[in-house]
Amino acid sequence: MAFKQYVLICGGTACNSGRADEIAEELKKELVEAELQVPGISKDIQLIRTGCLGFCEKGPIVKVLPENTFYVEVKPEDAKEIVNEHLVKGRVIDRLLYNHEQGKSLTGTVGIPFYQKQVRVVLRNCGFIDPEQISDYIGRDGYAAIEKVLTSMKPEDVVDVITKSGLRGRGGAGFPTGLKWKFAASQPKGKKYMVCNADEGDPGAYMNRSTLEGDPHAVLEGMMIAGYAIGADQGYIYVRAEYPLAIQRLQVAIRQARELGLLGKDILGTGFDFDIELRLGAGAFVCGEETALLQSIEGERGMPRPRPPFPAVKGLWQCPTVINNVETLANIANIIRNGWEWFAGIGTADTHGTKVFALTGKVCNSGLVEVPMGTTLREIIYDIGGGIPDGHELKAVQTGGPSGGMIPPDYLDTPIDYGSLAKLGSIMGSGGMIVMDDTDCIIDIAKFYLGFTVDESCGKCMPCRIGGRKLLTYLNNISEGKAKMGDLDSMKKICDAMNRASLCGLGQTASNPVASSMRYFMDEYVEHVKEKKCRAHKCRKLTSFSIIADKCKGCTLCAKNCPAGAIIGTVRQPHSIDQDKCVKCGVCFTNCRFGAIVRS
Amino acid sequence: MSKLTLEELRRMRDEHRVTVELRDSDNKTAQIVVGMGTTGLAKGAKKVFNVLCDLVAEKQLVEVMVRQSGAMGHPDFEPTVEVVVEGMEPALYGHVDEALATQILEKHVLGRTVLTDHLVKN
Amino acid sequence: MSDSQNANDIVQMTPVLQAFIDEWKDKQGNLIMILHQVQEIYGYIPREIAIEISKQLHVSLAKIYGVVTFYNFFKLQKAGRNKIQVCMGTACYLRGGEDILLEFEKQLGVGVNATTGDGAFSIEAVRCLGCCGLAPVVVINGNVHGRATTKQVAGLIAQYRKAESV
Repeated sequence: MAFKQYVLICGGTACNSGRADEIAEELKKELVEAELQVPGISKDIQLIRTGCLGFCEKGPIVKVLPENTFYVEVKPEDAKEIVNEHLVKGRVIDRLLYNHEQGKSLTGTVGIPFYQKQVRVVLRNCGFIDPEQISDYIGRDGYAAIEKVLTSMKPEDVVDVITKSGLRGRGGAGFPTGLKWKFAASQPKGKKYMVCNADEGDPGAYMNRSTLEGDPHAVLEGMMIAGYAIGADQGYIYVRAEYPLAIQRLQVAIRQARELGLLGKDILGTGFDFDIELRLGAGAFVCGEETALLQSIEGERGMPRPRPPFPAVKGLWQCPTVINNVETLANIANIIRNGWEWFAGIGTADTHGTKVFALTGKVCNSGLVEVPMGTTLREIIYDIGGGIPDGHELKAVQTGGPSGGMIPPDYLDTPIDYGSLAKLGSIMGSGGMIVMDDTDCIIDIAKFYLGFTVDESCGKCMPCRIGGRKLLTYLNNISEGKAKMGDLDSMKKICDAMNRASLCGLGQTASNPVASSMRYFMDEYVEHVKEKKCRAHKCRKLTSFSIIADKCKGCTLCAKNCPAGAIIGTVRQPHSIDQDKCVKCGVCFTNCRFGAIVRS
Repeated sequence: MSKLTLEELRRMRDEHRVTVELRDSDNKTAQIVVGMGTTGLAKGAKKVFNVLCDLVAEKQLVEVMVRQSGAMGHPDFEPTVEVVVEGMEPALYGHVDEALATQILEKHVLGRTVLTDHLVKN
Repeated sequence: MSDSQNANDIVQMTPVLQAFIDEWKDKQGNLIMILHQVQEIYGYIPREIAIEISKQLHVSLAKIYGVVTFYNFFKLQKAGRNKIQVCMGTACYLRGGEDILLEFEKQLGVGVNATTGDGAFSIEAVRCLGCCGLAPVVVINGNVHGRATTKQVAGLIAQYRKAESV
């Protein structure tokens, strides 16, 4: 059945909260109304709830195809105009187009800087297909890779192709995928498992969520190919409970694949058996670590296991198991179809292929971007991200989440790959990229991350359990003006100890935010310790608030809201803050409508 | 739905490839734009649009895009249709009805021959 | 087996839960999946249900509590009728998530991880929800409120209070 026009509404969790559901409902209603003008129109237009288009800053996004009109910041109220002006009369609605200095973008994303340097390969289907229609996926060469594998390749051929492609784990560690598969494949025949790590726990990262919601079959196909390569007949997707839409999309995808016999016994009549089940996480960051994840599936507390033995040898229920990240798996079918040379031709010598990043924080165009490895930080933050908003300056970019490091502006021209980021004291991580400006305090951010990892530490090994807590205490002292210079040396020692002696990746990398920030921003640490000063005015105890008499209108709003009764003054007379009583909560500063309260 | 054989999967893929490629915008080498000015609409521009869409789908011409636009500035010639084929000069046709639209698709877009008699003349 | 649960009654098994347990009884890695279903039905893990599961799955109660207390998701106390979840992911933190949490605490008069006296609201600081493009994010009863501001807090509370009285 052919349609005349297609209206695609972005269906990522973020756009959903931006009322994308309502937009879809309104469009349906308006199309029915429009039948009076154009009989049959609601049958001529296909409404598709598609996956994440990445441009979250400007969502909800509505695309009209095939003419490729790209509408941004759409509201449910716009549905009437979209139907009556655009769909009925062919008139593009200018005010909904992306507006940039260079002029409005008429055709798709051509004029939109956010998309110019992106190479959407992993995300190729997100924003184009209906993730709940297996036929859409199949029409885009879906399940063609598994078909090729089952009909013309031996398991060792598959391992060979993936190895030659140079694909490295996209979950953070960057371990060569082909090598991991080889270890498991070379174990004696018997029960083996293929596990997808969909426990995307890094705060600030949602790359995997978008793939799971927008193109779940890509993950299923990747797992099937992996299963074939290593000799596994059972796969599990361990998905975090905080992603209900992803869970639902996966359930639909698995059901549809099973219905067509693409999962189950004797797939496509080739004798290959493979099935996939979901297992939910329950809010434990550490379960993103391979061995903790296995413990969790087994119904235990998610505490990592010592290695060796590695999961490829003894994993789930002591059977050889390969655990791969969602993005790693989403690359597999593409590599099989296009060839390993195609993949190796993208990126740098150190790291092939593309990487999906979640660009967030103090950046104009926050969203999901996919770029070839080797793209520089500057290109991502400024060309794609549009730079820092509100006239502020870039202070640092943080990659790799709680396991990563902070990179100062001096290194913006670093081409991104595993090696170059490691040299800078950070890591690629799963793809979270947080931009910080001059109003962010380095110690505050380090404290945020340590607070997270201390809370999430499973407690099994001492370096992480005690070292992390100690580091956090030091950071708290620094932010409250209670630290000594000697503390900084102690912190360096603890970072080193945690890094070398912790049982798993969480503990080994938890000190990275501290270590990297001390490497590049030592002056800010010293300022906090010696001068008891926080230049970003984030550390409350080091900030004092005062009222500029000339600007104060005496409206008494601050005094009324002060929880400590520290503000004195009469109506219409300039007020003042009693520094002895002030608890530095900052409520007065936030509430003052006249900019009369300043921080120093 | 029953379990697919290899043959059935391939057939399903070919069938749905056409469906998604018709929807796609990146693969187009020819554009047919039907003007929807007020006069045009009154004279049946929508019917022209519909017949072109149906033909493209029927013949599975995935590289051809049919879309609408607002009025094209030639009210006396409406319904007007602009044809842009890669490698050819853009052409603007006037007084297009369903029969002419079919000709335009077959002769101009597929046959790469402009129907000069029906062009809008200034 | 009764369908209704009253805060004052001893919590009882529901047919829905029993059916779920029956379906998952023999599957590998079933404990957390079953606990999720319990949480979904009751809003927390009641002791009586934990004991029942222990009996049916032949897993010690100590082990079940070990799992429940390890994972953030599982609660041992009933939540408020309206669950307020403030995202504490990095992007949300940078864009003022903590201030929003403090404002909720101030407006409702309870701290984080607590429920108001009338049982109407509970506040939780949650892990990154993956909506970083919309930071800061607050989820109330599963409804995502993106680009939240401290000024919106009072209004949101009123909105959900009103929805209850309807």
